[in-house]
Amino acid sequence: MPIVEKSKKQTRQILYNFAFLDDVAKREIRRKILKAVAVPGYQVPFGSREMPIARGWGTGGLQITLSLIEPSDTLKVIDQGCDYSVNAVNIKKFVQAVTGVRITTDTTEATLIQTRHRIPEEPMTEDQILVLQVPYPEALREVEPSEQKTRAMHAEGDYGRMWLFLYEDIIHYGEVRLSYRYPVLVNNKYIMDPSPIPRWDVPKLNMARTLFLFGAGREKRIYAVPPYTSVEPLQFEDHPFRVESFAGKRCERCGAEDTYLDEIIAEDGVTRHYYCSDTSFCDKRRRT
Amino acid sequence: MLKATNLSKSFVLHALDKKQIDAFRKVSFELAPARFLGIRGISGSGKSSILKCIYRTYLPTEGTINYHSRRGVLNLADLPEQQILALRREEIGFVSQFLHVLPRVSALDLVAEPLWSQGVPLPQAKKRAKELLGYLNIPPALYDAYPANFSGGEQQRINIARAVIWNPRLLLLDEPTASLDEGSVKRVISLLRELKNAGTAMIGIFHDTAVMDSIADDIYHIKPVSHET
Amino acid sequence: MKPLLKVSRLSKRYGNGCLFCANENGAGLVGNQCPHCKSVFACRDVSFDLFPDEVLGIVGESGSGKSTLVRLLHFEEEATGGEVFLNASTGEEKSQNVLALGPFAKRQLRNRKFGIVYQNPQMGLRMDVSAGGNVAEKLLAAGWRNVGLIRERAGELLKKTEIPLSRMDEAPRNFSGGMQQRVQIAKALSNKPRILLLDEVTTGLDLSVQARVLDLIKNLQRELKLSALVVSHDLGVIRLLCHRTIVMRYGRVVESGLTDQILEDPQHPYTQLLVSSRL
Repeated sequence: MPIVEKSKKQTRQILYNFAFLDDVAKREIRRKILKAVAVPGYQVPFGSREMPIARGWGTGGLQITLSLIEPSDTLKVIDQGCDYSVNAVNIKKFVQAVTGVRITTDTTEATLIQTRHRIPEEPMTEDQILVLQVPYPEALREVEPSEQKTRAMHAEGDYGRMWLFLYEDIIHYGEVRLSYRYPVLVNNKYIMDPSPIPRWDVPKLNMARTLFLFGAGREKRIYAVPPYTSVEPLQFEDHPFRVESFAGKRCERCGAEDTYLDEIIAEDGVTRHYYCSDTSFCDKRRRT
Repeated sequence: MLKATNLSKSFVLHALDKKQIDAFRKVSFELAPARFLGIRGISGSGKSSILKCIYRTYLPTEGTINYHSRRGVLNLADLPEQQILALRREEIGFVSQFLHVLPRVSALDLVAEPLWSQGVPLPQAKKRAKELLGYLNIPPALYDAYPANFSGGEQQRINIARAVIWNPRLLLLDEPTASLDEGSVKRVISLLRELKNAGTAMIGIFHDTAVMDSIADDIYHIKPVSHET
Repeated sequence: MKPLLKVSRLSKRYGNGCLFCANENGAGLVGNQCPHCKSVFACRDVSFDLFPDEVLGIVGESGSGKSTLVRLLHFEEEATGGEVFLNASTGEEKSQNVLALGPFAKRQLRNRKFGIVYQNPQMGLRMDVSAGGNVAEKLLAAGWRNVGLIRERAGELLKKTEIPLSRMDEAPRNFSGGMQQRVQIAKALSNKPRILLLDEVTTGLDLSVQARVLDLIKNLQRELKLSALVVSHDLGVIRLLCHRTIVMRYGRVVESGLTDQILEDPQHPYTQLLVSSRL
C-alpha cells in the first residue's frame, strides 16, 4: 500500500514500497518464477499488475525485475542493444526512483539486466540474471490461434504442426524465414518463444551460465531458461539453423567483426552504415 | 472330401410378411477327392443355392457340410467367418456366370492375381495367366484391357482362368459355360479335366446335359420343393 | 488368428440420459433418441473384431452411427461405454483397453497405428499447406528431421496415389475433389498405419473418379497388407472392398457376416430392405 504522508509544506508526497510492487505481488511473482525455473520453457500464468507504463512496453520484464531486485543490485537496461533508447532510459529511471539501486551500462558490472530484443555480446556469468521482455510468449500461436489447444499441444509434445510450418517455409523459400522469435526446444521438452531476439542471440541461450527470465505483462506469462539448460533452435538435419551473416562488414565505430551489427541507411537512401547493436560493448572497445 | 447331410436352405422375406421360401430341402450327397459331381435338376430346384451354401454365400438353414480340409474336417455350415475366408483363399474356388471385379484392373492382372496371392512371384503368375488366356482364345490385344467392358463369353472365360490358375482343392462351378461357343466349351472342359486329374474335386452345374456328362463322374439329381409353406 | 482390433460394447450417447432411457443404452427406444430427455444414442453396444489384413465394411444409412464409430476409434470423440483392444500380434505390447489411455498415449497411438480418410477432404487436409507438407505432417510428428528424406517419402506416397510430383508443393485447395481424396489417402498412409479408417471416401465423387479411388485403395490394401474399416452407405463400394461387413441401424449392429452373404442372403429385415433398395 502506498503510504501517503503530509509534509510540513502541506504538499502530498507519495512514498512507495521498495521496488514499487507490494509484498504480496512480489511473493506471487517470485513463486511463479520458481515454478518457471523448475519447468524450463513452460509458460507459467501470473497475475500481471498495473504498472505506471503501458502494457506492451515491457511491463512483464519490469515486474520480474522489481520482484527480484535488492538494494545491493546493479542494474542495466537495454532496448535493441542500446542503453540510451527512450524506453530503456524510462525503465531505468523508474526502477532507480523506487529502489535507489546503482545503474550501469557495463554488462560485466551489472547483476541484473533487463532487455528488449537483444542478449548482450559479452558473456554473462552465474551471478547475473537476464530479464527479457516478451510481447508474444506463445511460440505455437503462429500455427494455432486457440490458447486451450496450444496448451494441450505443449502438454502432449504435439509439435508436428510447428515443424510443418518450418518445412513449408523451406520448400517454398529455401529456408526458414523467421528472423526474430525463432522457436527453440528447451530441455528437450517444450518449444519456447525466445522473445524477439535476432537469430544471432539464440545460441547464447544454450547451456548458458546465466539464468534467463522471460516476462510477458500483457499476456500474463512468465517462463525461464535456467543455467546449463539445453536450448536448441528447431532445425532440420539438411537445413541447419543459421545465424545472421555479416561477412565482409565491420562496425564503423569500434571495428568489430564478430558482433551483431545494425544496418543504418544514410539519408541519401543508398549508402549503408554498420554499427554494433550492443552500444556499451562498442564504447568499451573504443576505449581500450 | 465333402459330405453334405440333410442340408436345407430357406429364405425368410421380412418385407413379404415373413414369407418363407425353400430353396432346397434335406439334400445329402458325397464327393470324393479328384471327382466331379454334377448337380442336375429343373430350373428353380435350388442347384445354385447348394453351391452358394457350400461357399457360404448363403447361410444354410439346417444340415451339415463336412469338408476334409488340409486342417482337418470342418463343418462349412457353421464355420466361423474367418476360417471360411481362409478356406476361400487357400482351398475352395468358385466360378460363377458373372464377373464382379474392380473396374480398372487388366485381364492379365486379374487372372494372375489368385496365383500371386498363393505366394508365386508376379512374373511367373503372369506367365501362367498368359498361357491360360491364350488357351482360352482370349486375343492378346485384350490382356491389358479391363474385363468390365468384355463380352459375356469373354468375361466367363476370365472367370474360369482365375479359378483354374491356382489349383484349388475344391472348385464350385455355377454354369461356367453358359454363354460360350462350342469350341470354347471344349477347351474349358479339357482344362477342368486336367485340373481334376491333378487332384481338384469339383461340384458343378451345367445347363447343357451333354457337357455335364462329358466331365461328371457322378450326378446328383435334385427334386424341386413345393413352395407352399 | 487373433484380432488386431477388438471392439466390445462400444457406446456413445449425446446427452445425459434419463431414467427412461439410461437403462441398457436405450433398449426400449423406437429410434435412437429418447423422447423424454432427447439424448441420442449414436452407438449402442457395438462389438466386432478386425483381423490382420482384413477389410471390414460398415454399412447403414445416414445417422446409423457408422461415422461416430470411426470417430470413437480415432479418439476424436469420447465413448460413453465399452472397450477397445488393440492387439499387437507382433507382441510389441500387451493388449489393453485403449479408451482408458491418457490423451498423450492416445495421440501417440493415433499417429502410429491409424490412418484416416474422411469423406470431406477439408477435415483430413490442411488446405493451405502443400500436398507434400500434408503428407509430411505425421512424419514430422514422429520425429523425422531431414527435409530431403521427408520429401522422398512424401513423393513416394504421392506417386502411389497418382498425384504428379510437379504438384507436390502446391496447396490442395487448388486440386480437384478426386485429387484431394488421393492426397488424403497418401497422408493416411504416411506413418505406415496398421489400421486404415475410410469414412465414405468415395461419396460425392464422379463415378470415374470413384472407380479410380477404389482401385487405388484395393491395390494399396493388397500391397501394404493393411487392415481397414470401410464405412459406406454404398453397397457397391462394400462389395468391391470388404471381406466381411457389419450392418448398423440406430447405432446398433443388426447383422454381420461375409460380404457376399450379407448382399445375397441377408437375414435381418433391415438388411433385406437395404439390399433390395439397391439400384
